[in-house]
Amino acid sequence: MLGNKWLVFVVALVVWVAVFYFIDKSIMEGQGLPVGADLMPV
Amino acid sequence: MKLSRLLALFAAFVLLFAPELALAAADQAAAVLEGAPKPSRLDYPMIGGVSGRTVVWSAAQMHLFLAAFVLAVPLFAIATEFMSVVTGDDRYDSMAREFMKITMAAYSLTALVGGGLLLSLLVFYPHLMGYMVKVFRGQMLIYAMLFGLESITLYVYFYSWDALRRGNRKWYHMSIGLLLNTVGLTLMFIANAWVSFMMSPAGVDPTGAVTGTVWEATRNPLWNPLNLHRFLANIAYGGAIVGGYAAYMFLAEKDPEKKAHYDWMGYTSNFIAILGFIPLPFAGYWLMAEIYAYSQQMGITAMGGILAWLFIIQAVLIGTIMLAANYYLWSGLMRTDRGAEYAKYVKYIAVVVVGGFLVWLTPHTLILTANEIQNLGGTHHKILGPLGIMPAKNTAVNLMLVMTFLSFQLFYRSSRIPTVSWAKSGNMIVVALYVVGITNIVSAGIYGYITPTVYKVGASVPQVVSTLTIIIGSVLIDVFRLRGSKPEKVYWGRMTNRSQYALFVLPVAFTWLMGLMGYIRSSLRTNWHVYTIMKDNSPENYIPTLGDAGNVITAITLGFMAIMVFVFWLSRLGQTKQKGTEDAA
Amino acid sequence: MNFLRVIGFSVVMLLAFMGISHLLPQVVPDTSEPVEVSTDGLDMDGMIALGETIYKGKGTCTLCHNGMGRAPDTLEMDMAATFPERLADPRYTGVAAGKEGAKAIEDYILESMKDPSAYVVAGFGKKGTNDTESPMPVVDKAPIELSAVEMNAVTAFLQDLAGLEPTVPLPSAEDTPVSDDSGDGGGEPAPLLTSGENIIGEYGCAACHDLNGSGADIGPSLYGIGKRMDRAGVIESIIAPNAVIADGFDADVMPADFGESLRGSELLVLADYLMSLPDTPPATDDGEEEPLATTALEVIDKFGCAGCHDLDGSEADVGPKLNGIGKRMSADQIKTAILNPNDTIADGFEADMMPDDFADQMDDSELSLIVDYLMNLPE
Repeated sequence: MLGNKWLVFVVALVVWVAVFYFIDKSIMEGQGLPVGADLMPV
Repeated sequence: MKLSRLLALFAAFVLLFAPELALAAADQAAAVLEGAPKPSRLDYPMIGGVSGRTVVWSAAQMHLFLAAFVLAVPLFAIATEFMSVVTGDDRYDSMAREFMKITMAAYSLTALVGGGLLLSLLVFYPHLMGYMVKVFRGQMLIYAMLFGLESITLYVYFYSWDALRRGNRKWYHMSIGLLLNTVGLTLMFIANAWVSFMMSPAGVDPTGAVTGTVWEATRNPLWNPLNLHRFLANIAYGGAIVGGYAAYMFLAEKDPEKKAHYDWMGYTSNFIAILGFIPLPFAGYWLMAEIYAYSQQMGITAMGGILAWLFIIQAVLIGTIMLAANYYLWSGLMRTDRGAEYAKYVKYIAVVVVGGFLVWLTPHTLILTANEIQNLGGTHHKILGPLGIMPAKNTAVNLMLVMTFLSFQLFYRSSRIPTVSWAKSGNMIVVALYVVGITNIVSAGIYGYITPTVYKVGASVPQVVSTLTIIIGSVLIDVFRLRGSKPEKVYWGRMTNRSQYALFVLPVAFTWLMGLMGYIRSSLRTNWHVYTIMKDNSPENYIPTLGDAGNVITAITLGFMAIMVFVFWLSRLGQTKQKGTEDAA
Repeated sequence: MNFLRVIGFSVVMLLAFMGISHLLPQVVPDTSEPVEVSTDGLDMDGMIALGETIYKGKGTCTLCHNGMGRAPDTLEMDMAATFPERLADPRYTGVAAGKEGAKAIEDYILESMKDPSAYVVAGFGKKGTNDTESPMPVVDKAPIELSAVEMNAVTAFLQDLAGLEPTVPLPSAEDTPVSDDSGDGGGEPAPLLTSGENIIGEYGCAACHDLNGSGADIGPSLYGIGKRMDRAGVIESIIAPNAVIADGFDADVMPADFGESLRGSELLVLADYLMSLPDTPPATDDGEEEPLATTALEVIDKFGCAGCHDLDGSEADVGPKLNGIGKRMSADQIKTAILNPNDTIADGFEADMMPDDFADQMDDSELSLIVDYLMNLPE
């Protein structure tokens, strides 16, 4: 089931990145801080 | 046991009547709207050359150690009891009873030391106590009554264990346990209200005159952060102490069967300690954030002012605890035949944990002479400087927590062989979770480093959430992945003696750490009894140096260790029978 | 056996923790009783000096008003330009809104201390309040509790910082005394000097003035000064020594920075002490000489070298800086410079400033101690 484990790994990586990006984004926005392209204020 | 019950009764009396007397006095005083008392330096009783502050400090800290222990153990005793009902494994039930057995003797001592604390406060700080009674009025009476109830339920819970062990009766027993824990927590919350009121008073006007209800004074800004912090710390602390007990028994027993039992008990206690410990930094973060929100000054006093050095020792202690807990978990891989497969990862985990420890130790600013600053080219070291600031430390602590959890997960996996068809793929999902989660923690740390303060604080929240996501996510996936798995034989007792010493590190370091945190929490008020309301004008109103505090904390920890040795000895005495008196009763 | 090992292990661990607590820097607390000194007779320079010490000490202002971005860094900013900008800001609607001049700035500063939320500089408000609420504590309330005089002093200091002539009223005898509270939160570990003798010792006054039996004569004797000057005059002479020069003495000899280096109440304590000095030096017992100094630091202390020379951070500049002197001079040259100071005068310094009787006063052992020390003193 679920085929090649490395394929699963790559798909999982992509999914987790999306999940963490969503979490980070909502937390930072919740605090009224910028996210995304203007993330780096330097 | 008779003796300890008598002691408890005596202590309960002290607690019951002392506040009542004070209350009567306060009723008369409260007739007019009156501010907090302003005692002058000479109004503080001097008794011989005795340092009143040290006496109160020692009594309070000792009371806290004991209370944390006796409140925490029933919490996980009932959880373990519940486990035995769910799994039908009687071993859990016996262990829960054993947990309680070693608390019983400590309980009366807790009350006794509490009475001593009250007495020393009344003797050395009568004005402060008078004021506190005025603010909290009847609540102190309720506290005393609850204390009586706590004693009753505790004794009923323990002594009815075997009588209410099977079938429906078990549920009665667990209800008593639930009541016991409810009362216990309420007691702690009330005591926390008094302490947090002194830090962030509410329900009084700026002169200290009581304008609000008792509930308003109770619900002061720092009450809930303190409640959560102490609740979690108690669990970790209780687990660590019981772990120390199990480790000692493991070393002392010769019988392999008993050795196996105590190994298992040590493992479970360590697990409980880590369980309470992992969310603790986050609770601490919340407490600190609330302190900042309540008074920026108080926050800066803690983190950037004269107390900043404390956090170096805190880092040493927490690092020690983490290393010891990890070492114990790694040693545990010996218990299973498949453990060796996982042992190869240990060195990588070790590198991260030790590395995190070192980063955490790196001080931010150093107190330097002019020459040293010149040689260094600034107050911050070029290479080490960045490691000293908060984002780096947050990154380090989160990685250490993730690694500690990983150590635990490795052992758990070594004891089960998955049978589901997607076991390997499922594992890859977990690996991917770790990879992405850790990357997220590190990049949030780097982001926090290069951005201004507001962002630094903001960026630490995703780190915390990442850590929790890794832990919760991989537990959830493993639950499904290991469904229907074949349990691998765990050879309980197949542990080195050396690994048991790691279990002693936990309670000793924890005790000292709690003492240190008590010192800092109390010092945050600087020269105030009740921050901004009632000034401390006593000759000892200053913050003692770190070294002086270290001496006191060490002395109190030694005293607490002595008490624990006595308590454990008592609990074993109860089951020791004189030769020739077998089954006489 | 197991028992002893476990106990031994635990005790060793405890001692290690305790050891670390001693290894870290110890912030020694100020255990002295709070002193209260009258501000009566303080002139405007005194007020500015007092304001600065309060700003950096008891007021705990620098906890946030620093380069860390918590609050505007008033000590670094160009306040001369900033104050008028603030008053003209359309968002500001307080007591001094739209006004100009030093008096309006005084009102603005006082208002921002008593009611910090009256106007919040953009970007410094509490999170989520859109700069309508200030995180700054009210300064005349607990825990800071500055008195009206103290707030005036801070205002004078800030006005001076902006290059303005302070407009605050001078304190009178009816005002509450200034209590010196080291402000535990301020991270200011320097202990407060609460006695005149200690202050004189710390700042090296006796190196030039005849004080504590030093017999020095570079500056005028201060015995009986209370008869010759009033308290305000004494304070002024400490802060601004060139304002009035006593007959027979030169200007620019006494360091002019005591207004900055003396902490607020130290200045007042010192003034009280000087006012109370007797007319003549107390008779010294001839038989009892000061004990021999046994370390170089004791020598420096005994002869008050750091009162005039910049020695390890004293920053005095009456005599040449002595750090790194070993690279510029040989041991013999240093010895000569101590015993016969007028033989060679360093560029930019004057002759007849340094006492020339060290040959009589210094023991040979003391002389070799100090020469060795100076030879090895790093740059």
